This record gives sequence, structure tokens and C-alpha cells, in this order.
Amino acid sequence: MTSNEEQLLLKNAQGGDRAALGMLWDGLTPKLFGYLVNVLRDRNLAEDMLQNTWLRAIEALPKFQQRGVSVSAWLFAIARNECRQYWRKSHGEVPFDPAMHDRGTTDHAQDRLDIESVLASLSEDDRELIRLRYIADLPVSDIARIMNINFIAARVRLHRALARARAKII
Amino acid sequence: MNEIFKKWGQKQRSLDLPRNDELKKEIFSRYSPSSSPAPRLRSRIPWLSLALAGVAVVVFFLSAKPITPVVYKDASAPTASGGYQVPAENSMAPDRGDSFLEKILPNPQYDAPITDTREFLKTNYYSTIRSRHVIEQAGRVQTIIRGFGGRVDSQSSSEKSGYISFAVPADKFELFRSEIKSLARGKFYIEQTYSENFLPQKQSIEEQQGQISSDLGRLYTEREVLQASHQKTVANLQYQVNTTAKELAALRAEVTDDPVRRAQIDARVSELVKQENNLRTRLANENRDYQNKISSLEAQIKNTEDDLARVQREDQNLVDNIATVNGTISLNWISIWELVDLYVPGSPLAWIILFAALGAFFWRHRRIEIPVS
Repeated sequence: MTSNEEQLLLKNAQGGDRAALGMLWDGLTPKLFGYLVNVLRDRNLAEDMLQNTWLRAIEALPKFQQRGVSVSAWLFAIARNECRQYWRKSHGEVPFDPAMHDRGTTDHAQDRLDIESVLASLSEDDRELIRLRYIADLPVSDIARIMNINFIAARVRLHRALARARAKII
Repeated sequence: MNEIFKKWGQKQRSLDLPRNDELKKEIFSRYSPSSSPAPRLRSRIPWLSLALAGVAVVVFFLSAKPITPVVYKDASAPTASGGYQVPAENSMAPDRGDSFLEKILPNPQYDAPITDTREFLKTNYYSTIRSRHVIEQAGRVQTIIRGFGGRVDSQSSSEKSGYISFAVPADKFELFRSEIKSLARGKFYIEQTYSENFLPQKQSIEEQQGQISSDLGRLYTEREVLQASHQKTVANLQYQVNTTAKELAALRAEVTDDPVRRAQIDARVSELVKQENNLRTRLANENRDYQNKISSLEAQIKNTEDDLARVQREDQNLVDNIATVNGTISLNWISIWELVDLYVPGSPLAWIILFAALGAFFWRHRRIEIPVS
């Protein structure tokens, strides 16, 4: 789903078009859920966070003005905030443990484990950049907005995170 | 590396969400869209910034001052109404008129020949100082004038403007000028000095002196000739009178009984008396004529000497005048707006509007934080 399609669907959804809202759900939920599972490492918790994220979005939807912010970026920013609030309440983040991680059902479990091991060795900021770029499939400009940094800094940090990941794999 | 992460990301996105429909239904059930229309999307074109920038450009061109050439009137000094802006219309300077220098000396209407390369430069000085403290500056200026052995001819000062007319010795003028200059920064100080060679006036004076001296010499000579002629004539007449008197005395002293001789003596005495009277009349006439002529000559000589003294005074006045620099200093109060105008090229209003346009542009493109709650 392109940014323009998202804009159009959002506008229609704000006008009361439930079908448009459904299309937004279908387009964005897989990314959002994948992101949340990767962040929280718990499917049930990820589902709860997904639900909370959409509820907050639905509440704010009539007042939402795009002003250069894409719907994806907005949703992921809400999700990120929800995760933070959860960690604040549960007194901190659970250390990343690939063995404990819900790997889902895949034929390439070993490959994925390797990636997760690499991610585990990176900092949380690096992991977040990689998640937003490759799971959420967001452009760097949106990542910069979500992480509240400027575009150049986001691009440089992402580049460095990938370089560190490459170094770990090699 | 990029490809590995892309594949990994796709796999993450394809995680199964068993309660997808259930969640969707539950969340959508809580959705109650507002009856108000959806917020209007903002235009991508920054209209406000463009409009303000346009207004700034228009104001800039409208407020641009046309370049007018500075025109001086003939060879006379620049005046308040001429090409120089000092004193300004809002200053307290009196109008000196066009004949400022002409009042000092008559200005002969001829050009001096190039063979005469002498210079008798008369300097006039005009300046304007713009200040926030006019009265204080006026006091400083007067102190400086007097400190350089000068004289304040007239002065007036108020909160908004001031005017000082003065004269300082020419040999101290350069130091005086630099001292005045140091009272204000470059942009707050405008000056003009004007020098004119008074050679034509000097030549005129010299010509008059030569003519008067020549006339005086001629009159002296005439007087001497007249005196000599008179003395000669008087001496001759006096001699004749004396001779006649002597003969008369001799004839009157002669004693004779001869009637013929007596008749001859009487006739001769009568003739001599007549001759003596005639001589005395001529002598008196000569003296009267002489007195008339000598009085006339003396009067002419006195007038000519007076003329010579007058021309010599003019010469001295010219020398004194050249040795003095006359000038005026106008003081004008400057507002904050004018201060800005001095330092900012173009109209300050145009700059303000331009900054407003920039501000509007950056406000529009400010980093927007994503509303998460």
C-alpha cells in the first residue's frame, strides 16, 4: 500500500467509510503485529498491544491531520508509545533472548535464529531502526519522525546499525 | 545484508494473527466517525510565505529611493536648497541664501588669467550629525569650536534638532574636523567642505589699488605744480608791487617848486597808484584762485587716499577671511527606525515582511511530532 493510497483511505475512513478503514487494517496490521511480536517477544502481549494501538488510533482518527505524517508512521508511533508505557508499568524491558522468543511457524527457523542472534547483539536503538525499516517497511523520513531525530541522523544511524549487523554475521 | 533483512522483515510481517477478524470486529465496533467533515488537507504550496515574500518585494521596490544627480549652482557654494542635504528641512538652520560668499566680497564677473597661479582658498564647512542625544552633542560641538580658538556665531538646540554656526582658524581646521568627526560613527555623520579660490577678488583689489595709487600720484604732482606756479606768480606780482611802492615813495618824497615837475610827479603818482591797485587786485585774485584750486585738489587727494585705505581694508579682510573657515553643523535626532534604516539596505519594512515570510515558511515546515495519544 503506497502512501497516497493510505492518505485516500484515511480520508474516506475519517468521512465514515468503514470499508476504507478495513482496507487500512488489512494493509497495516501484519506489519504492526510483526513489529510488536519482535519488540515484545510475546504473541499474546503483542495482540493486546495491537488492540490498544488500534483503539487509540480509532479514537484519534477523526481529529488526525496528516501534515506530512503518513498513516503508517502514526500507527507505529502509537504502537511504540504503547510498548514504552507497558515497560514503564512492568518496570523495564525484558532482556532479549532468542531461545525464549516466539519464533512462530516457519520453514527457515535456523536462518531466523541467526538474524535474531545478530539483533540481540545490537543496541536497542539499532534494533528499533532495523525493525522500523524492514518489518514496518517505513521510509527513513518516517523513521526519523517516529524516533524524533532528523532525517540525516536517521539515515546515518541505520547505515551504521546495518554495518554492525554485517560485522556480527561475518 | 539489505536483502537478508528484507526477507527477514517479510517473514515477520507474515506472522499469523489468529484473532484477526475478532479483533477487527471488536475495534471497528468502537469506531464512531464524527459527523463533521474530514479535516481539510493542507495545500503543498506555502501560500502565506509566498504572499508575504511578494509583499516584501513590492515594498522594497516602492521604497527604493530614485537616484538623483547632485547639481551645484554655477560656481557658488552649495546652499541649503542646492545639491547638498545639509541643513535638512527639519533642522533649525537659518537660510543663508545664494549669496553667502558674495556678501563677503564683491565677486568680479571675470575669470582670472591662467598665468596667475596664486591661490587664495576660502573654505566653508557643512556637516550633519545624527544623534539620539542632540543637546549633549550640541554642547560638545561648541566646546570643540572654542577649544580650537574658534567662535560660535549662532546656535540653537532642542531635543529633536540643533544648529551651530561658527568660524575657526584655517590652520586648525583639519584637527577641528577630525575632532567633530569623532563625535559620531560614520553612518551618522555627513560632511561637505567647499573651497573657492578668491584670486579674482584679490586681482580686483590689486587693480583698484594700482588705479588709486596712480590717481593719487597724479594729484600730488598737480598740487606741487600748482603750488610752484602760485608761488612764482605771487612772487612776481609782489615784486611789481614793491617796485611800484618804492617809486611812489620816491616821487612822494621829492620836493620841487617847479610846477612842470610837480605836474609830472602828480601824473606819475596817479599812474603808479592805479598800477599798484591793479597789481594788488591781481595778487588777491591769484591767491583766491590758488585757494580754490588747492582746496579742490586737497579734496580729491583726500578722497583718493580714503579710497586707497578702503581697498587696503578690503585686502586685509580678504586675507583674514581666507584665514578663517566658516561652517555650520546641524544636529538631527535619529529614531530607532531610522537607525535600522541606516544599517539595513533597502526598506526595513520590506525586511520585516521578508522575515515574517521566512518565519511562516519554517513554522509550516517545522518538525511535526506525531500525535500518539
